[in-house]
Amino acid sequence: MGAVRASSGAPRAHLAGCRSGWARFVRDVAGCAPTRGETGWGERAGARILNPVSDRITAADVAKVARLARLDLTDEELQRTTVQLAGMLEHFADIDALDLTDVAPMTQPYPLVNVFRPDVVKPGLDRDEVLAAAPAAEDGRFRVPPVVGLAE
Amino acid sequence: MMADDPIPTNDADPAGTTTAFDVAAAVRAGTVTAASLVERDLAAIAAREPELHAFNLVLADRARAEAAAVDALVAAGNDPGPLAGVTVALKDNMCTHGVLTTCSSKILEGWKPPYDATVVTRLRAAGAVVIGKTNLDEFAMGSSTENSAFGPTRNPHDPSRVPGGSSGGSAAAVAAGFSRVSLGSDTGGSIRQPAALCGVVGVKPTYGYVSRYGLVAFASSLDQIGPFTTTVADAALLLDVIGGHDPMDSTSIPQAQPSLLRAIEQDVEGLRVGRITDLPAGADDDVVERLELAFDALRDAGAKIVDVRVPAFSFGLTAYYLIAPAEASSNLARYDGVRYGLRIESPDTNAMYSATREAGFGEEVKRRIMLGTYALSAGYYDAYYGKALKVRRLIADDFDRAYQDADVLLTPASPSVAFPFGSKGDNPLAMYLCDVYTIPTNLAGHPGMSVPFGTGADGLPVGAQILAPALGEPQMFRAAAALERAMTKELAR
Repeated sequence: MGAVRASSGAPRAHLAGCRSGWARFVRDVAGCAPTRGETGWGERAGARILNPVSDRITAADVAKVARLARLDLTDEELQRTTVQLAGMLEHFADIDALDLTDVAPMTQPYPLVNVFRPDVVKPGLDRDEVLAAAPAAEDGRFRVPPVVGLAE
Repeated sequence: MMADDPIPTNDADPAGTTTAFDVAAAVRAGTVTAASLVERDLAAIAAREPELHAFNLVLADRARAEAAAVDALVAAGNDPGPLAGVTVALKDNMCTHGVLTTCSSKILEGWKPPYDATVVTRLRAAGAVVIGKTNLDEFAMGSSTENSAFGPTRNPHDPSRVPGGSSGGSAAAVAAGFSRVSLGSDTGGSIRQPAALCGVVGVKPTYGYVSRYGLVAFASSLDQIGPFTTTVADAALLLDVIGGHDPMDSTSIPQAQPSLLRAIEQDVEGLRVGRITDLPAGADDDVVERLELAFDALRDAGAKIVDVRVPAFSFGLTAYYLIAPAEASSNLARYDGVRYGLRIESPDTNAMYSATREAGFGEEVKRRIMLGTYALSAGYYDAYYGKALKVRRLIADDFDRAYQDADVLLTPASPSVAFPFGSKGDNPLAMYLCDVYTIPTNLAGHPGMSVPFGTGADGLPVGAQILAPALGEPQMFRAAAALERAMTKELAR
């Protein structure tokens, strides 16, 4: 398992020297400097600085993401979101300092394998009740506007 | 424990019956009716709910009918179950058949689920009475319940301050005596932080301990339902009822869990309580002071305090704010104006999706959907989401090493006591910091709970957080019960 064990003898990168990450945020914005213990926000024993990038996000990137997310953001929202996402990504740069080469990704906490159940017919949800909760229904189905765009 | 508690002898004075434990004992014994206890809680709601806004919906008539059914069972000589007559408030992201379930979002306004969540089915089967649906940060995204589309909830201890969040309504309902117990959901601290800020017990169980069937999904690999109560024993009682395998949730842990009510009969003699020496700083002095007293209390009760290191703890915030929004952006794709709630009519489906989502989601929800979509998008996946998943592994591994030396860990639940409305300003990151001590537990899938441990600045409640490894609920509850006993002693002095 990569970073921690492999580099446990490496010198510590202290927070105060970090150019980004939550540590700086705590210091500068939240106004509560690290006060306890020998370590502080964002510090990690044995962390090896690899590539402290400062990825910026442009308004064009944000507009593209909004399209992917199916959000019809206003111009004002686009501007604000660009500033906020850029700020967040700056703070997320604290993990750029980690060597994660040999670390296996963890997608969920419980080591599950496939879960099977007997293939038995059981009653499902009541169709009329489900359709009654929809904005529009017709002939036992959800009703939607044309799928092939008229607007294009 | 049950035998020692006073049980009121007539309906004229149900005031002494405040814990779920006492209520169930008295109702089962027939010394108090569930109907009278529901009226007591409804009176409390009538008196303070207009000020506090803990609920999105109070189910007065339904609660009366359910209580009458419980009393009828008792009168007929039958046992309604271990939660007989216990009023419970449900966070409004748990599905209730035929009853509005909004997630405090305009996009789900008016939606009535066609089924009950498993926890609701289990509560009713145990004799509990559902008294209402509680307010939350929209889709459980927030730490103050200020992000609700239906207005904020206020802290019963000081209505000028937040109750915490996202399960702020559920925490406030128990703290204000609106219900004996409540349920919340915890994705990054949404049960433990409001429990701390409202001075009640709040438990986030091991991932998979409680069924998520019927819990509206926020981040599926992190979400977990748990109780708010006034005592540790009540939390154990409630988890014994709602926990356990459910075939309707494929992430539900298949093996049976030991009774937590039995577990807390054991003291903490010899229990190893870990102090995280590299815990991220930033907790206020009053919180740190109370935490030191909590260590002292556990040591006095026979526990052994040991130093441990969890180096990756401080990367929890970054990993969480990439993973949770990524999962949320996928889960919330279902709100498209087709099947539930709001629809903004448009000439084609694509335009309808975008217009409906723009109008229906609040600012914080949109921000997280944007962040998550970005983290998952082509060209950025490896740099953000993929990397966060690896950091998640480091955090879990670091916890595993710490738990070789300690049975439980003790930390603050929240860096501060309840804060005033609007005090986190416009910077979303300031709010995200509220969960710095709770988030790593969710990433690891471990249990954690907040126990009231005295007061800090302005006489406001402070919560001590106890963490344990996966399925370490029994030792976590033992430590919690020891802290509770120490508090009872401190207050008696």
